[in-house]
Amino acid sequence: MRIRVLLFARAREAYGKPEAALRFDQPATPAACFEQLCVEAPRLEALRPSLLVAVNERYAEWEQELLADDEVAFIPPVSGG
Amino acid sequence: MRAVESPTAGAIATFAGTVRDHHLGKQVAFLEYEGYESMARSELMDVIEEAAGRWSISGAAAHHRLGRLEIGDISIGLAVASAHRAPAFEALRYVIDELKVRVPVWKRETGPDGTHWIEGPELVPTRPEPAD
Repeated sequence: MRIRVLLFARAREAYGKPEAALRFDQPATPAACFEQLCVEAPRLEALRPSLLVAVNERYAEWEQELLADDEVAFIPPVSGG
Repeated sequence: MRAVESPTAGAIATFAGTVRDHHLGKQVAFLEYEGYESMARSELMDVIEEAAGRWSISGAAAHHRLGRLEIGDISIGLAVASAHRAPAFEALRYVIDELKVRVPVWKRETGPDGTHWIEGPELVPTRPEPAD
């Protein structure tokens, strides 16, 4: 199944791109997506404790089971306003 | 303000967030805002609905700018209307406070010391180029 991943702000810079398309043969979670991104960009790893996860534009859990074509976002601490 | 005007409103409370020339003792030259726009909209809508559930308000509107903003520019405008002023003030406060902790928007400041992401109260150096 395919999962679209979005990265923002410091996470986007650490990954080097604003999004990624991942493919899984087995059930996947946001945590598994993040691990895949870390293989490509190991310095993302250090950000993990500060990040929140969203699935389909809603805050979600790292271990939530994903469905095909879900959109996962990794969200650094926000600073709008 | 016009977005929340109504004959039933006796008060419209407004808030404007503006770009400041300093942050944590450092000079700031300009800010750049980035957002997860679709989620920011739905999260902001949730915050406004929560406010409408807690206080008797007749309307609320919010607009957050993204991209580069200069010192003194308005980054966010909020307006809340109510029959009376107290719920308008309280709901306005709730919306801006929740926005700051939940709505996926980020700012990066540039000053004489370089460029930093703002993450809550912390300054974090940016990494414009891959290092590995």
